[in-house]
Amino acid sequence: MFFAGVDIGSTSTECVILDESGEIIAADMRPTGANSAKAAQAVLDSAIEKAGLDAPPHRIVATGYGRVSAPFAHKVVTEITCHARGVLHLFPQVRTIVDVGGQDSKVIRIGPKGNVIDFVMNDKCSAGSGRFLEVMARALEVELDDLGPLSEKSAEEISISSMCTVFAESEVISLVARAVPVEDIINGIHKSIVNRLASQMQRMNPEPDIVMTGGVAKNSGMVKKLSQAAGHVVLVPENPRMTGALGAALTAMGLDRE
Amino acid sequence: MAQFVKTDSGKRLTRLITNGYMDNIVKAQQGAFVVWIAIIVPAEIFAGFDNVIYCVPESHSALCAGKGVGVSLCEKAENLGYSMDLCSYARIDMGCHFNQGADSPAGGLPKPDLLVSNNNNCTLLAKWFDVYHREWDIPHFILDIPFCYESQKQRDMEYIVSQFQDLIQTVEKLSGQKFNPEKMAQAWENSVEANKHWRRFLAAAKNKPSGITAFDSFVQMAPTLTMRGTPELAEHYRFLADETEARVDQGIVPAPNEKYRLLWDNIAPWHQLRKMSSRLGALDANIISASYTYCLGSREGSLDLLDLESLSPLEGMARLQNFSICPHGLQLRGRAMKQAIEEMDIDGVVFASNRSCKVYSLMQMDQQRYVQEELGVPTVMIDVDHADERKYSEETAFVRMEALLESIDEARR
Ligand code: SF4
Repeated sequence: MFFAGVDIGSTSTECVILDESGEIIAADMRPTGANSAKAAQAVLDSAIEKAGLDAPPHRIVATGYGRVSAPFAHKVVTEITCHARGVLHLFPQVRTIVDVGGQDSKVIRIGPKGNVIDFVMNDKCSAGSGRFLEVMARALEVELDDLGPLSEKSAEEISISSMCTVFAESEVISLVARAVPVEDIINGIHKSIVNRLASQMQRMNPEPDIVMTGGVAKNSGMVKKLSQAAGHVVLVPENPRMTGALGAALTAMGLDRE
Repeated sequence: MAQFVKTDSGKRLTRLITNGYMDNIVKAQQGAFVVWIAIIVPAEIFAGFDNVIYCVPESHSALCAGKGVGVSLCEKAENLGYSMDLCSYARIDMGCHFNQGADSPAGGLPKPDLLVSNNNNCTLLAKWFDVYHREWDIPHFILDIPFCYESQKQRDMEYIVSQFQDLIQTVEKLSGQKFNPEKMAQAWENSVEANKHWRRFLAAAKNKPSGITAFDSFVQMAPTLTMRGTPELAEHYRFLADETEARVDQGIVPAPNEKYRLLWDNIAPWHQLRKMSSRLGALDANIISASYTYCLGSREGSLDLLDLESLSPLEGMARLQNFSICPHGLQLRGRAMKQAIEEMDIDGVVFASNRSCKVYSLMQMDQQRYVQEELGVPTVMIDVDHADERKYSEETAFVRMEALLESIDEARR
């Protein structure tokens, strides 16, 4: 018997397939694009193919913003619960999760029994989200993946004061015009996002272990800065984008027991 | 899964409201003196005159939002230069009435001869009525109601009564009509009676599963605002309460498989009533009660009805001036919410942070912390605007509300 979780996010859609023992046998992802139902079906199909299955998994759980657009799902569960389950599976000691996705950021507090005790989400504004970084990378003409390594070369602390993505973009452009080194600007951008994340996190009384997930967790500069702000080492899963889908697949495993 | 059956009281309500708005238009055309009031102004006073009618812009704005014209009317006000940050009730009202009643499902409100507002909810309201005062050159009477961190004090009550007396004289002078205190007293009796039945209706939420949804009570609240003091109101609420009790006895309830009993804090999301209740219903969740509908006639900081019968009509009306939640301090709000959670066996609280009504939303974060940490009841905060749909995102709200249900599940395991 096999179990699948599909996480249909605002930017990307991921799928994880587990076997009976809870081992990941396939994982896949693709951009969500304009049609989330299509993306969900496509990523599920390709994961099934990768896993070499000849029938759809026994139970499927969908999560993420597009969770209701997955007709194949046996159950829909919010990304709050799925992220918590996925991360807990990888890091049983986790107490605080900071997830920074394409369009929102959230902080989830986990209780001693592994249950969600509280969460805060910021989705009113793109500041502090992956989209903010994307806009800045474009303004600086650097690849998104290069932001982390570049920021680590920064020699001087500068600060970007605007929270608003549009205002911050003009601020960045004016810094470029003043010939401020790109590394320092990127470092400043990271600091600005982390400050925002840190205050969101402080509201939740964060306790270690702190784990960061979502696409932005791939940015080493961000993780380092978040660790400094939290006063603890922030852990990152090997594949930080997959934790939602993993949690959904784990939930699918538990469905028959409910 | 929730069931939507149009009840007899639902049909009755539609008739009542439609007739109420139509009546006002006709009476105004026939020469009645028209007063526009804020919801808290004691409408029973106007029943003391032969030919004075009153209209309630806030309630009319809620109606517009419920009928899907909130956004277009807000935009009309914004086109006139009013800021998008103003309360959407005010924007809808100005968008409608500076455009000759445009888009209103009720044909708009007849033009006023007098404006009566108060300052115990928000300053915005008095400013909003002031706009008409300036634009149309109509007198504006503002009731000064002391803010409320505890139960109303005797001297505050007396201060309010003296203002009511001024208001009566003002209406006499402007309308040329003579005030009859007996007619007002009769209207007051009707209101007190109506309130008792209203409570009986709300109490159906205590049943398991709940006999009502808060969405029913939001809708049924309208005539309290627009028909206060009339015998029809008392009769309607008696009918509503009887019908609801009978349905509960027969086991007819909105969410038969009720798994989650939720409490709503803030004004109703008028543009989402049907959508939100059916989507929650599909999850076997029911928002059974709301701080908003319970406050009417309650003692500050509790759900218990005030003893109004021992007071004279003017004193009773003055005593009610603090009924709405907005002017209450943190402790009063916390106490009332604790009682609601206990009496109705609430599993979770949905705090709706309202972009329009800052006074209602102001203390919600502290209140949320209190409910979660001190009372140990899970909560969630969602963003809404009671009448401007552009400031609401269904998916964002539902992620949070569904996560609340999941955390209730987890806590039960
Ligand atoms: S801000 Fe709140 S209290 Fe003031 S008019 Fe709007 S809804 Fe009423």
